[in-house]
Amino acid sequence: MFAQIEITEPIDRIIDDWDYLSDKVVAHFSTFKEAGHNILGLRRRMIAASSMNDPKKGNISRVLELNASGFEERHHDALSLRVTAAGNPHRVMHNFGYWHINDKDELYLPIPAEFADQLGYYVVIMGTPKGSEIDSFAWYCEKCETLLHDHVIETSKIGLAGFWKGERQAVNGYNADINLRTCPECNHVNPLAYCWNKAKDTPAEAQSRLCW
Amino acid sequence: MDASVAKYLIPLKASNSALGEWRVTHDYLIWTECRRAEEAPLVLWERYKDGVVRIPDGGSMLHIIHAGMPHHIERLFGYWRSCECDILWLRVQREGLVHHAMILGGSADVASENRLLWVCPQCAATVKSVGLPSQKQNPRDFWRCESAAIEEFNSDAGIRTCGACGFTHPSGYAFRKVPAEEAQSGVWW
Repeated sequence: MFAQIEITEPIDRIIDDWDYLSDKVVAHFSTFKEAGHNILGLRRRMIAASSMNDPKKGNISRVLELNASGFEERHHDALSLRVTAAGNPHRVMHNFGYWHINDKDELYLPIPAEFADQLGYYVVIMGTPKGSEIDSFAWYCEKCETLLHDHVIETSKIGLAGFWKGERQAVNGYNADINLRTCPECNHVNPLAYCWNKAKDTPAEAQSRLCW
Repeated sequence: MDASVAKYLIPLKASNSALGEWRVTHDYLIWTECRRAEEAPLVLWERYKDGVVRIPDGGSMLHIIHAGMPHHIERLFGYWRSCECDILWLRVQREGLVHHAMILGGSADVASENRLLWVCPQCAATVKSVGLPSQKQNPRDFWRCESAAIEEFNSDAGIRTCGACGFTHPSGYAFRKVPAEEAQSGVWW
């Protein structure tokens, strides 16, 4: 139908990053990066029907959300978009050691590899925070779900670089004060926090990552 | 957010409903689909200043259709559309099936216009262009206006005739409503 008006140059010369699953693009999105109106994270992981293994972090299949009925476990289903609604506290065990609360919906899509010995793709999509939208790093008592502490950053103003700096500050602040980790309701002392980037774990944080 | 999204999982699966599976979240409008690999592919086209570009449709890919970019998806809708927000177009081929997701949305300060248009296949001029309401904010009006625009376009060969080169554009068709005769012939757009 469009043969007469089709531009036949190689597509790479016309559109930068036309395929976000290509190796050269994925490499730039291993953390998070803005792409148009969204922030994307593109990870290469071992993805099975309902489990996921990160080459560095191991099994990170257990996703938790906190809702009106308490902690609730979610599952990864290959080739299903999972939605964490804006405002829902959520965390991934052994992946980041805090509850993340943000003002944007987050979408997650595990794409299994074509062949068993290959890594699949894990696609994370969320809107770019605008206006006065924020992120929170929060901790709830693992025994009784009481809110222990939260650290709020204005991601809309400080951007993604500020997000990672804020994450480190939040984790450092929480870990430095045992009173923050001690539940005022049940006296349980909760484990140390840790950041998303495993390479930045202190030895104590690395131990904690193994636990929760 | 609708009830199915409240269950948090949106499978990229086949659907028998007229428009396919559309889901709404706070920030996104999500359409999902799954076809057999041997079926004719859904081919994404984008319109640039000097002509149109076919986005390669083999294997798996994730492409961003930027807000305001006129685009057409062959065998999915018989018109070009420019959307108020970015669209993520995902195609994943696995085990004889092709899974699709079209994810509309993102940041809140989106201001681009939502339009439906037809592009002349002979000279790339705009044959006809119609403004549409926001699909996310007002889906019922969006689909009503989509149908009305197609009906008007198809009703009059004069409207379908390119003012620049005189070519008469083929009829349009609504979302997921490829005419049966075209589907059977294997020749469609």
